[in-house]
Amino acid sequence: MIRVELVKMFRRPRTYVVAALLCGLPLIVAVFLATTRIPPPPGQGGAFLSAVLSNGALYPAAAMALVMPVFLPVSVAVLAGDAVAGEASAGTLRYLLVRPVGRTRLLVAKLVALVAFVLFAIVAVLVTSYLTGVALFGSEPAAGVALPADVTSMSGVTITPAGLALRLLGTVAYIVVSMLGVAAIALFLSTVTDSALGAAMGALAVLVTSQVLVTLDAAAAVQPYLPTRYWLAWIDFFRDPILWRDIERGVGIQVVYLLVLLGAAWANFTTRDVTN
Amino acid sequence: MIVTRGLTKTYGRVTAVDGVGLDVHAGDRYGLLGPNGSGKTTLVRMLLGLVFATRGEIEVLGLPVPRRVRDVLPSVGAMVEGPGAYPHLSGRANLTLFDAAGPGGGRRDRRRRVDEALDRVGLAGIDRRPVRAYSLGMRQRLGLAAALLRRPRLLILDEPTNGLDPRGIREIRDLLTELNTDGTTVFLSSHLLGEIEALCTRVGVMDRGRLVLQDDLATLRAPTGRVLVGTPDTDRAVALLDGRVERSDGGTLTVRHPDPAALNAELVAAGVRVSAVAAERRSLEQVVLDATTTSADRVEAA
Amino acid sequence: MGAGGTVVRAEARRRWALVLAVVVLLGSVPAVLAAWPVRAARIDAGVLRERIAASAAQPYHGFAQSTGLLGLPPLRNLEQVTALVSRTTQMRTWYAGPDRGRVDVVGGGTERDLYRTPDGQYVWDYGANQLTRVVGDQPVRLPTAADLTPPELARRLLALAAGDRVEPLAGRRVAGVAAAGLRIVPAAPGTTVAHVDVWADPASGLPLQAELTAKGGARPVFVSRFLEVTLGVPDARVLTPPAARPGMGFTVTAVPDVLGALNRWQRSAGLPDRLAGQPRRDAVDGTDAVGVYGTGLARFVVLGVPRRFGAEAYDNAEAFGRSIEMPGGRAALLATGLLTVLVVQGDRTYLAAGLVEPATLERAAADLAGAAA
Repeated sequence: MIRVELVKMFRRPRTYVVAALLCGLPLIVAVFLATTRIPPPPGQGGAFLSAVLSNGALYPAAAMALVMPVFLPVSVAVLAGDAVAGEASAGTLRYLLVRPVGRTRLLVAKLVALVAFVLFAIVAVLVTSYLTGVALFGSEPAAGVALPADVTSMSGVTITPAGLALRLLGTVAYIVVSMLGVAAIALFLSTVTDSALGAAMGALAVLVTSQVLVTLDAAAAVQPYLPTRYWLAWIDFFRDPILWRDIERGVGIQVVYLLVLLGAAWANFTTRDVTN
Repeated sequence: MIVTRGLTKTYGRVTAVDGVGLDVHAGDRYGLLGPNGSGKTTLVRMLLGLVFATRGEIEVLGLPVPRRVRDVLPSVGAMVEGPGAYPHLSGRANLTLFDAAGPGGGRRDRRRRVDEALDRVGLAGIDRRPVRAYSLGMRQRLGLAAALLRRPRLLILDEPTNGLDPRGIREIRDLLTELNTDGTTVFLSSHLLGEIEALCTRVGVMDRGRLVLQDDLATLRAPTGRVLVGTPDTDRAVALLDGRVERSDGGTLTVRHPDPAALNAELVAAGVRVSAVAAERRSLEQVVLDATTTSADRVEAA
Repeated sequence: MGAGGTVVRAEARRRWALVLAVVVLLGSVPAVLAAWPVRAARIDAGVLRERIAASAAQPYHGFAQSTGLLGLPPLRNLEQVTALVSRTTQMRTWYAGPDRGRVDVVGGGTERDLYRTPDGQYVWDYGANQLTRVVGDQPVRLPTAADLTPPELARRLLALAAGDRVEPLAGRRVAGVAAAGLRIVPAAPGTTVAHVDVWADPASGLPLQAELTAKGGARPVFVSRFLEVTLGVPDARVLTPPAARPGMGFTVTAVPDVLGALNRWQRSAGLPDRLAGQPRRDAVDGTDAVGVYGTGLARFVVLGVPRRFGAEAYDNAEAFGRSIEMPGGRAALLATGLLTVLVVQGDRTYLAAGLVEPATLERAAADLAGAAA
């Protein structure tokens, strides 16, 4: 069933359109940065953006910081919201279920396909942004001295290419885990309603609320439990030594959301009437 | 094959299916007749474990549903409320996906199964066009092909001939009859009386959630004990059959008589010219009208 | 949901109950951890205080967070300082000894690291892509994040409040350590501080949490505490400042001889010997420019600066605070409940700040205006 879901995902033009959109944003930003060479002031704008001007090899990390807060979660929410509700409104859900495909198996396969999508999208963004970065900013430091294409970490210490690859790998893994929470929320809502749009909107409403509360000091008490609280913690991979604290917490909170919401989706979907 | 007892489904305050006791025997071509909104689709969905009953029991292929539905469904081919397919994929790709999704289908002979199913429903020559570009009839055939993928012992089809032209309807009817002869039990629902009359051996009639009638078609249509006689000599015939003529309508007499052949002999012997003679049978339409009260989509003033 | 009153209702109930149980279980983990009773070592408050004072040699590394609710407006050129006391600052800290350590201030996409090494300090600012080596001592300087780590803050406050009364506090778990607590109630009148609470590791005396509560307030207005802490010598590699390399800004600054300059300018008319009834004590030996008045936590610092530097400070203070009219000059007072800042402008400009009540600085303002005239 997982294979079937993957085939469905990757034979769907939509998948590639979304991935292309995700790759497009960093590309546009890179073009503007490269032509104007005006870096955002420190601490504002996307993370790493001021650093990429001196070394394009860091652009994949900057690209992640660009797509992570909005674009990626939105696309995951849309796809996950469509997962069950979309099949229901297309009339294919009932045919899958009478095949028969177990309802729990269907949910798990949907989630795995979503993870595959996130991986695919991130890798696409990383590859295109690396190429963009090296092409537009160059991998040599701006001073012009011939040096290996080492990247400076946020702590000022050099990261070797191998270290950079490892950290990017960690980033990819962390972002996939972060998106699991989004996927679980949207997937649950997708089993509640037959409207794919409704499910996606519902998930986005949760995320926006969470994002607003994260920036609100008055909500400090609940912040550690918000799904988006540790979304940007992967930036800590680029400190030296790596700051694991938020990364660990981020993974923990996503696993909790995944468990609870997938459980709710399972409890709801397996005992629900499929009337569409 | 299918047995339900007191099957009831309520949505909120609306009772969609009310105390239905379905009984489909092995080898039947069972037709479930009823107007739109009479609960046919809900009933079919309950049989397939898509919708859960409020009360009552279901047994399909001897196993309880929904508890053992996963053991039942592999031997059931189903089409529920119109075909469903991924519009951006070709028909063949759709069938391949559905085949791969279910259990029991080996990967090696998947291609052969898909081709066979397409061939059966008359889609052997479809190309790589996406389903989006199919006509409703083609989609209907594709849905039927999906139901046939696993050579099921039981076919449960909800409105299988929707969107087909008369020739298509005929082809599907022949296909179902052929499958039935090979041992497949066919359960289909329709709001088209003629279709069921032409295909089925057993009929159930749904009316506003209730199964108001369930019997063999032959029994329902048993001779009424009357004979229809066509004759130009109506006056002489009426005189001869004195008192046995119930109705005279133009050149047609309705006569209470058990045997058309004997009646014919009697009339001819008396010199009455007979242009037609046939035992009167109730039409299915008459049966249905007798069993139901009012049209389901009619809204009476309070 | 969905299955209300069907043949699978029992099943549905069972499944939802299972999900609910998981929610309750996971949700209760933080609550249970927070409510877990602390068995703090019984330790006399006085002894604890001595251990804290002697804990400067204790190496540690950890993650600390300071939260200030002072609401100090973002004064121009002092944003970094006002942010420290008005917002939440997260710090990673490695401490090997008084002259070897590192404090990173980390934020979303930013990092500012301070390295202390025997041959000077290094400051790395990621946002500015700038490495700065600072040579020399800084007897007078603005507070930095490194001063707000719980051990530094607690030790400094305890040193200030040397003669004040100490009360024991119930222990609490800080960063996983069962810490013993003590409270210092300042005896000196005129301070805005109601009490200072410190929790420390009873064995090593390393302060783990420090809280400042203002008079009339129920909640502490400044809290600095460890979220994670490990006692032990940090890895030497971590304490090595980054090497300057092409593509990175690098400067070496000697500590500007501000004091010397101020001193020369100040020589003609030093700070008054008494302000607001308090005698003056020199903050830095041999310097007239900076004076400390008062005792304990009720002390305040006065700095005389040339008029051109003071003008901007005065405008700032006036914009956010209130101005006081007085003969011989004008003054602006900025009160935050805990910290009070005063700028007096006459012929000369004086800056005064301290954890003192506005009334004290108002009296000081009058004295300074007189001196300035």
